[in-house]
Amino acid sequence: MKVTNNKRIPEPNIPVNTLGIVQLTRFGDLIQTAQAVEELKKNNPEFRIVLIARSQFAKPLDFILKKVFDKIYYLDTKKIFMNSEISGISTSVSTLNSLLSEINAESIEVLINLSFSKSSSYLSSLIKSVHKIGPFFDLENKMQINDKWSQILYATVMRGVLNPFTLVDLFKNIIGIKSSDFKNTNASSSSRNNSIVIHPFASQERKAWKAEKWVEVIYRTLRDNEQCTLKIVGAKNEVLKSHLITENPLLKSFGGRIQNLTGKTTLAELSDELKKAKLFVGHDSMVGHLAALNKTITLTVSLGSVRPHETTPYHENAYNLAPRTKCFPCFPTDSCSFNQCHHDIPYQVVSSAIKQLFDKGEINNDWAKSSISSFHTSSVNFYRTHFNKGQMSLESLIETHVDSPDIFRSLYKVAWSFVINDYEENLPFPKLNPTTHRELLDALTGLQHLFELSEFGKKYSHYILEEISSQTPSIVKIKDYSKKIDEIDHLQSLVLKTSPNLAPIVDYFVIRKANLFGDSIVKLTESSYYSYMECSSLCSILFELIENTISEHKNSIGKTTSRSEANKG
Amino acid sequence: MDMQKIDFNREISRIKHSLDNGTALSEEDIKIILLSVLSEEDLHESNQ
Repeated sequence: MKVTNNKRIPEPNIPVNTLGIVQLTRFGDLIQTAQAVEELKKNNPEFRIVLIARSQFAKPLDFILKKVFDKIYYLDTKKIFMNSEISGISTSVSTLNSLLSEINAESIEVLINLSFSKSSSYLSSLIKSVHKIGPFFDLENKMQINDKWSQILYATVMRGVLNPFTLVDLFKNIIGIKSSDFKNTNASSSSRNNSIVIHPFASQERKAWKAEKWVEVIYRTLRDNEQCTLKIVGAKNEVLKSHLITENPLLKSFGGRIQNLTGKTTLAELSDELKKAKLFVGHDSMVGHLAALNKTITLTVSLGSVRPHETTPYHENAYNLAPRTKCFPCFPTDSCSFNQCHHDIPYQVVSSAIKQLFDKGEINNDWAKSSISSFHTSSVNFYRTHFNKGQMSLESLIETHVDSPDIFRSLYKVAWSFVINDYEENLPFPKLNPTTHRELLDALTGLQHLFELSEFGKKYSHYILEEISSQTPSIVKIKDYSKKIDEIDHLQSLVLKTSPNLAPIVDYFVIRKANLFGDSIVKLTESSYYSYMECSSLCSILFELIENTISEHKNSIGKTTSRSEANKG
Repeated sequence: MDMQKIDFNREISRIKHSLDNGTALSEEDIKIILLSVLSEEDLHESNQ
């Protein structure tokens, strides 16, 4: 007997969820966006993910982006503004309209703007989607950021030095990608040749050493590693700068071992070179991110306005040298004529690190302690990346150098993860010295003030709600309570004068309060109440973490036998 | 004569005026603002 089923029940037509990612910024941000989305795609292969990016940055990276995104919409301003100087903006509007109709035909469920620029925020407001994450403008021309991780990104990235999250992890948190164990081992070394790729340039002068310093590094690298060849890479506009290095008399005898590829490769070809190389060395730029995609060991020299904790190439084999200069990292708008941070990273440290990475493929604390002179390391922080539950952080290879921002970043990482993601981050107690101990004590006072102010904020928000729900609400009273709330917000910002390390909390709650939910006084006041409540709870968590850190420090001092050892703790 | 500049100046001042009067932005207004911002960003990019 045979059973046949000619009338099979058709599979239900399950609608595909479409996610739109807006990333209008440059190459490096696009690569980091692709790294974040790659994980989303792995976890949710059923999603259709489309990217909206500027054509001049996205097209050269098509070889990466097309593997991750189902469709890419290119915002081509050359096309949009073609002939507009003669014909005006009407044709620009129609070209933009055609692009928007194509994007809007996607029926996007969730639009996520990861670029935090004005243009991306206006574009996001024009794209139709059921939900919007990240910044967009409302019809009153006011920027709206409704999700908490985007608010954290807006409040902390490129603001100070206390953001504990890498850009890729922030993107992952914004998108809502669940962290998983990150397995990213080096590609087999047998498939790699003895080349080191060097990108000695950056988008801004303050982020890159002058040619002479790179000449010293290259000279020592070639002298000390007879097997290796160097490939200098860069863009077309960096060709002249590359000649300043390759034509230096000091490198004349090594001519045959230096290949200058500056301006000669496409990004796809550059990616192939990185895939074959044993090591990548350079400043903070998209080349490092490209190396990370190819699992090539990276050594980054961070200078100027670079924030190593945000933009170190996202992979397990990344090393970062950053100066301990007081003004590092600066802001792109700060004026600087001397570039002290450029002098604070000795080229000897870079060439020693290159030799070790080229020979052994790894640097650990023991090597850093025994092989680099403390005279040279006194002015640098040397970090290695570490992954814990899918999130990357930087660990210091020079243990004695745990400074105040390092400690606060750890504390913020624990606090943000707990308050926003309800996730318990397990980090060891940071080791304190007298300076960091004092700064933590100062922060305790600031936190107490912030906590009390938030409690007042809750109280006055509650008074407003009570007044509104009374039988005869008094407008005068409601106005008085609102004034009190304004005063509280002002006083919260004043706390920063004595406790600057609390800036991430204050800045976050400024953004949070500027984006209260609701279309009525009741809803807005409720939202205000919850934001003060969140501030109180963040302050309590940080307070407890700092108290415990100080207790641990005191215990460790108690255990030590000599005064000198106690000071080290 | 740069027609793009003239158009942007005229449209942006109209939009500013209507915002000052409490009128909400229309989708067409946002498109004009977006184009103006993109054009500024392109100019900044080419100066780098």
